[in-house]
Amino acid sequence: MKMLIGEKWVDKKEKIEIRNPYNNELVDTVPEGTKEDMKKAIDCAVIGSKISKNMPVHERIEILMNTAGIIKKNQEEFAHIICSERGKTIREARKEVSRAINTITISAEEARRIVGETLPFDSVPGSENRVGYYYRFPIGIIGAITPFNDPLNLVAHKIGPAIAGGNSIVLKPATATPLSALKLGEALMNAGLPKNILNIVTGYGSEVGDVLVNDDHVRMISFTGGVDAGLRILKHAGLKKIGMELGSNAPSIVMDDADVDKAVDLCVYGGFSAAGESCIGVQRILVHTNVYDNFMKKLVNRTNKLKVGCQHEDDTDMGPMISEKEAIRVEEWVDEAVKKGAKLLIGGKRNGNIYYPTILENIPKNVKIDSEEVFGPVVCLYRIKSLDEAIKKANNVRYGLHAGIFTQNINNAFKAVKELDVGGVIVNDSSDYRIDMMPFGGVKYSGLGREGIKHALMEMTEPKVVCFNL
Amino acid sequence: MGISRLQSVKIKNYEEAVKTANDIDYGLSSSIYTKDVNLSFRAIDDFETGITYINAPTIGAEVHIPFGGVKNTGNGGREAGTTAIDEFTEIKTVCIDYSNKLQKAQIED
Repeated sequence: MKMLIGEKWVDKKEKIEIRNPYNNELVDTVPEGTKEDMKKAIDCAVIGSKISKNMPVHERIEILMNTAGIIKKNQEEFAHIICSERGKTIREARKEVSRAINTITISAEEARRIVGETLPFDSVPGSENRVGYYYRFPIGIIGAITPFNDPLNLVAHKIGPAIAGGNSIVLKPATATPLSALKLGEALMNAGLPKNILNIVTGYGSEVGDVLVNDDHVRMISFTGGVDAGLRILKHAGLKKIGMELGSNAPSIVMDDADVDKAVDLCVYGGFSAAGESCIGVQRILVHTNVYDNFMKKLVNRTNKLKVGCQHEDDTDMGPMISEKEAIRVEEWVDEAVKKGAKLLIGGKRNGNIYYPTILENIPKNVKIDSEEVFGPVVCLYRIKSLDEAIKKANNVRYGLHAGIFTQNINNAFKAVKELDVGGVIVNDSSDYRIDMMPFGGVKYSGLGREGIKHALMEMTEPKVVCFNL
Repeated sequence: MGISRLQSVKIKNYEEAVKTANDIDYGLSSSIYTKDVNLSFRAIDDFETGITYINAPTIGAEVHIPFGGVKNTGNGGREAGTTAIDEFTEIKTVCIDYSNKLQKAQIED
């Protein structure tokens, strides 16, 4: 595919090969963008931001609704692209497409609801006979940097609200998975988005990403990815808004009054879907000692039934990781933990890019998998004696994105809601639950700001106060 | 409900215009043509109607803005816009005590 700069779909002699993570087959190529390409894209976005801010809201709505319609008509094609470049199972890929349709549709709906309010200026002496209000206006150019794990929907989460809010965009999609993003770009252009508003530059982060982050025309960097890259962006971005969705090693608590069977099913799903390469995927399960043995046995049995293999087959439950390099990294983390005393209950094997679903217990302290984000199909079990101990353990990491708690006790549930240091608490489901309209983001090193269209729009627009002295 | 009848009334000043405009039982929509910013904001306050237009006719209210009137024009509700949804829904207040203790909200201990 080609990249989108200003008015044209641009090709280059230098290409990046996009390969299927399961069998290494060539899926497609994209141009290897340069610093100059990125500068050109930003110049085009300067033109685009003027067009976008003057575009009436009803036109933004129509373009976004048309886009959702185009994706819907080509659902299977989008799903196969996600499946091929990302390695998600075809069933997971189909789900992501339907979520992206929803994300774009909500963006259209929220465009209608970007409102201000009347201000009571006469609430202060000396301000009688003043009338006014504020409204929200677009901030200008949004630089979006997106990850490989949800290559369509996480792009939609930035482009959708950016357009709804009247901005222009320069997108740098993940190097490994640019095809879904380019396909979404194609849908937007076919839906009637004026040229220059959306620019997509493919290439390596070190070459094109830095230019985008450093540029003064760009008013916001919206980044989803790892914490190290996030911290580097923060150092270089200068005076611009920052939206960050970073990592997590999400905890899920299972209390002794929980429905254990349900908790087992949901933790398996939340731990191993998308090969565990999800920021809210289940990494740590804190299980009450009264139900620990029962839960552990059932979790291992249920995990043992997962069909691991080629992501294109309808009955596959878990496909490959994004790259062999990542699978080897996860292997090293598990090996480190096992060497220092962790007990391997299932998995611990690697075959090329596939890392088999793995469950560990007796996790020693001072190993990476205990405190860092594994971003792979590995779940760690911890035995806890009380809710207080579980909450303390859950909070005792530098991340805080989502947490789950399984309990039938309403007081336990609300105590956990209040005391867990995270951006979202899911009661009677795992940390892996999300819908696209809700505010999504974390505390501590898990990020800055919130996505979820309505909330992203708060970041991508700013208020202008109007006051009439009468 | 209104009966379509166009009637022009000669007025001497703004005050007389407002008095004349308000001197009926209805109050749906009103409009003023002026480039005077102070006068236009006064009119917004003074007209006893649910909608006031500046430099536009009294028609044209669409589905996306609150539509409805005061006095005998209506009972205070508004259709259209998100205000219509307010009319057709009710608020459910939820309060959950998760303190594990007996807490008396309505009496001093």
